Amino acid sequence: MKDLSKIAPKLSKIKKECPFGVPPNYFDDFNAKLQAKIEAEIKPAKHRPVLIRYLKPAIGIAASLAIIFMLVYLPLNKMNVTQTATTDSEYIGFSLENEYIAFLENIDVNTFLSVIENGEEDPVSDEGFLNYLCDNLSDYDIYFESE
Amino acid sequence: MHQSDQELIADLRKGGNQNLAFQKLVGKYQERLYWHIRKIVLDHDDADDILQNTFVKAWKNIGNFREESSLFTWLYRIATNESLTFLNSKKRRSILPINEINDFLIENLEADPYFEGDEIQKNLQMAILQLPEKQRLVFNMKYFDDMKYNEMAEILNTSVGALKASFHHAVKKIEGYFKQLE
Repeated sequence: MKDLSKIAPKLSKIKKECPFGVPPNYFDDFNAKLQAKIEAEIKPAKHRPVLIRYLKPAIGIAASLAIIFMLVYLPLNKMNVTQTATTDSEYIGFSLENEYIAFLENIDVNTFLSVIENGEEDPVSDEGFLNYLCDNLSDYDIYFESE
Repeated sequence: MHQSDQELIADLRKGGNQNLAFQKLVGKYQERLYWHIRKIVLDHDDADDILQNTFVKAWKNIGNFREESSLFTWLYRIATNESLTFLNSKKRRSILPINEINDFLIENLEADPYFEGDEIQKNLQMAILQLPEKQRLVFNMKYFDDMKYNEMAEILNTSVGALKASFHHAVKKIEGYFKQLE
């Protein structure tokens, strides 16, 4: 660089110094900061295998349960819906029978007895039966019973 | 008092004294490496990150150090590569054309809160930023660090002749920049 003044006179006149600065105590603190960074890089590498070792079987079990759940629950759920539909109709039948029993129980005793006593000797005529039904049962009850 | 490089290398490769030897290595070379990196990337925080990465790489690879070069040359090479990788990653992430990266560095220079030079120093740094990347590297290593061409050839993996030519061109361009300012 001895001939710098010959090839670059303006550059050769500039004082050769570094114009950049650093925060206070930067170099004093650098070593400690670097040690912390190196330790941080080493630690996760050590722990990662242990964590994965515990997580893997747990994830596997969870996945298996999820598959079993999907294979079993969904079909079962469908079947239960159909069964519930049929039992509901049976339930309806059962509840109607109870209603009739309750109805019979609420009939006037004399009326009930007279029907029984007169049933064999003097059977109820169709007209009489129809009148009885109209007086004591609703159209809905008649319709449903005939169904 | 600093240990010799041979003693440091020996301690770094031993099991027991590794941490202490590494701290001594950092203490010995941190400033020289920092300023080299700083002149390339300009920003202090970027230089700090790169310096840390340099030493972490050295820590991880000390077993691979073949002692074909000096310890400092090896570290200097790592620092240079890390700095250039950093700048290249900026180029890749940016949608701007490559020339605009120099504009990015110029902005860094103008906004640098730790810049302590006068107007002339700022103009010199601006002139250096006009140079292509490798030329800028050669100029900084020769002009500011007064590094020998042999050592630079080892670090940059370039011939001495090419480095001399590169430095000569860099000097001419900077001189031209100052003439333009008049």
